[in-house]
Amino acid sequence: MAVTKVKKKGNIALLALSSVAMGLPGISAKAAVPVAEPEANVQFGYYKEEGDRMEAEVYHGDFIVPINDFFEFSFSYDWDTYVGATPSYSAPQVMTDVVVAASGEDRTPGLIALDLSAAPDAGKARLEAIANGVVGRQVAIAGFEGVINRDITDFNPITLFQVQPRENRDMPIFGAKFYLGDVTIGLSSGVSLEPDFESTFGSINMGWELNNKLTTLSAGYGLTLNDIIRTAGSSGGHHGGGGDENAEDFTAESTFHSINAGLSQVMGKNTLFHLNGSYSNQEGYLSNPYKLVYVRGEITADEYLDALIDSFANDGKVGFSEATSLEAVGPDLFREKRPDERQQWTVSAGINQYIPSLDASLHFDYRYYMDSWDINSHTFEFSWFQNLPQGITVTPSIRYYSQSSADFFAPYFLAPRADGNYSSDYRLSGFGKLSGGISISKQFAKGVRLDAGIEYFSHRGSLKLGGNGVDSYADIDSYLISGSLNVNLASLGRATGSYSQHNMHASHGAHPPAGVMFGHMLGKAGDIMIAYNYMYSDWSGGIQSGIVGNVSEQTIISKACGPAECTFNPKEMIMHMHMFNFMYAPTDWLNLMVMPQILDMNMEMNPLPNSGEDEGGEHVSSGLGDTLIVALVKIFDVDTHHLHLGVGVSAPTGSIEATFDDTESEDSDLQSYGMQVGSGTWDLKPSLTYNGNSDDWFWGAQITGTKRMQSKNKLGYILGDEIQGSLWGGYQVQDWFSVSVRNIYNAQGRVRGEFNRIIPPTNPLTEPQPTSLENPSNYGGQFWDIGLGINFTVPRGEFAGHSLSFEWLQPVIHNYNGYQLERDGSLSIRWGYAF
Amino acid sequence: MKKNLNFLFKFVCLVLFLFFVTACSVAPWERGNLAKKNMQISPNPVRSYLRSHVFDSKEASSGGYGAVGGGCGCN
Repeated sequence: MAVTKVKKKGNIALLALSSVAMGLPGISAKAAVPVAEPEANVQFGYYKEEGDRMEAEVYHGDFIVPINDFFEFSFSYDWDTYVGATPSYSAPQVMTDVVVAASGEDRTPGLIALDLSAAPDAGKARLEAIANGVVGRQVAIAGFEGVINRDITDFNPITLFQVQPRENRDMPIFGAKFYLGDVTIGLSSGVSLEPDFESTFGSINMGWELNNKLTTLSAGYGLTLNDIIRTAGSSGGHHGGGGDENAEDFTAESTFHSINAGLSQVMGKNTLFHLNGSYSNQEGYLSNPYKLVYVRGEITADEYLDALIDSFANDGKVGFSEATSLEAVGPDLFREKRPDERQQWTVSAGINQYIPSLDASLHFDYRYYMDSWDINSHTFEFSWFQNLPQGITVTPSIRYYSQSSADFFAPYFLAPRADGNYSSDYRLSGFGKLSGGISISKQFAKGVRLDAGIEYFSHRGSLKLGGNGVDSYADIDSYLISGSLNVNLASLGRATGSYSQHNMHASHGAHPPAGVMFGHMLGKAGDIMIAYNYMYSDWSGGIQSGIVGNVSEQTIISKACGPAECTFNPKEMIMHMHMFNFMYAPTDWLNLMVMPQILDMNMEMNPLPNSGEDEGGEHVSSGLGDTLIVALVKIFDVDTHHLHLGVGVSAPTGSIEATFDDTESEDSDLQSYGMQVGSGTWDLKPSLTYNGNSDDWFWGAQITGTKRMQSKNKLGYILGDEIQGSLWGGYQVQDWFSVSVRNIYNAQGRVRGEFNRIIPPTNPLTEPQPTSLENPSNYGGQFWDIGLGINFTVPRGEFAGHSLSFEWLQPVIHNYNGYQLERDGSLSIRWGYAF
Repeated sequence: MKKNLNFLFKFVCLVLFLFFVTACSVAPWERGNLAKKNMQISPNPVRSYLRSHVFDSKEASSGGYGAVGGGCGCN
């Protein structure tokens, strides 16, 4: 449910185009490299605006694999999630009460104007009096004008916000590249999917190296097709003025064509110059379906009156189609309208200069942009890449951006425009933006690179080149943090080779089953492991209590919700957990490990007989979870017996503020404890692991715990402490394949404390109903599971060191605290690569 | 608009002029520095893409580097 959605999908075409272009030999100074080596990247980005404005998490993963000497294949996946307040429109201060009234229950523009000019409930009677000639028309019009045409003394606008509920975007992109001597051809295609904006795009790019590879020419074409879908009541607009609950369903399309041409030229042994030009033509619906504008005079007092009188013959529906082509949403408040065509041109140039005496590179880039909406912009960017010992690069950078405003932009409009185009989206205003950032990159041997960066942005009307920027009401500061991991798979293969055999041995034969965390250590100093763990868990099949099995609905109603009666019942919960593990051995006896995780949960509810409802509901939560930081210490390591201790800390990076309306606003009702992606507390995570092996057999045991180190989190509760014991054995069937069986005991305490954020009920129809999930006593218990696992490893060859494991955990015996959904089991999948 | 196009045309001419007067020959064995990672047009393409994503969502301009991405997700 997006509020603000006409984003620059055209750029997706350019992205597709550029992701290919970036790999073109001509775009790279390394023109001699014929085929990219297999490579993979993962990245996390976090963008945040000051105050309660937008925040976004951006997850990216990609890989590129050469299939043969002239063909390579690539795939990337982006997943974004974002939430927060965004400006909806602005209006003169003196009109605030009138336009804000538009967010009330009855937003029919004329009626609101009328209500403001007369006693609130006298509206209809008054209208009838006007229609019947009892009240003079001129008197009525004068009353309207007194409301909608107030004198403006303070021209500084007031900005009204909407809340963007949490929303996700998925974007997979496939690419292929052909190397034909000096010519390279790249193809790329993908989709970007949001609930209300779907985009399909494709591109073709060519690169041509000439002049003894000193010069490269490139050209490309991209096509983007967009579908914009707005459904009625889909914007959560009740948090701001002028929402969309009365909006009509709406679909629209737009088409973007882009062409791009580039040149890169080696200017000397330390200098590279590049030049690029692009043209883009956008057609169709280019407005933002959620942004509004205040336009005085678009509908006159006369027309408001006529429309109201006409409504008597039209079942009370008030139409303004005769008065305006805009979609009216409040008194003098309309949906924005942009031209249905836009042409964009850019020229950019840059120079990269290597400075041998400092082992540094300097990049300077400039871009000029202009479009048919009368916007032009200048972008200057300067970066200094300083190489330091031990593979470290530090890069400070500065960027300055300045744009002029679109010809149809204003904070508000005091008279209609002849062309009928209006927008108050501050992104189309005149402003300047200055940003500074620093990034640090560390290249490890064996083709692994870690990058981290932070950048701070100041968006100011007063920073616009030549002045005349928009007033300070649109000023905003924001920052971007990012971290990424780049793995060159080919150089890993070269670096490890026979070494990986040793590594296999050093990691105690077969790996522990997929569900065992912190289960093995790296063999020797300098080793690195990257791993991805996925866990799917399902709870369904009825409410259970203690060890007795399913309980009756009557018991649930009377007992599961504490003093209150339960009216709804959880039906099924599904959790997807993604854990990314980076492990490094600074010495033979110590491993350091960082493990961020992403959670995605879904809860389905059923009504109980006493609720009077027929239908259940569903809610979801997702995002970055808590982050584990663990040190593993080797205690002893003889031929067949290996013991190590783990000391870990879980940092509360996950949110505990998921709300039913997905806004994460403090005014909204929180989802239950189990649906929060974080714990909200710093936790201690100790572990002790034993591994043994003899011939083709392997076995192990582990004990792990979770101790909450705070007495309550910021919302007034803590999750229960946990202890888990695990015992396993397995057989190496082949050198690449093993099977395992595991026995797991897990005990977890109930939630202590309870939510301290109580939202007073406002509307009984939409309030969350009491369920067993809100009762802190209904968490934790004792559980015995059996795990069946299979494990594949690549013992030799180019992909040596990779392993892939699966384990299914089947619940056997349980003793639930309170009343809980039955556990159905969980599947763990682990991919790991040690080198 | 016309004024803008004129500016653009002059800018392109200037750049092409600079290019032709300064281009010189660099032997393959002299290209070691050019091959360094930080001399590539986009030394960290994944981060460049993320930044472009933010800029394109918050600014009216887009495209033009031949190596920028875009999309949405930031209001």
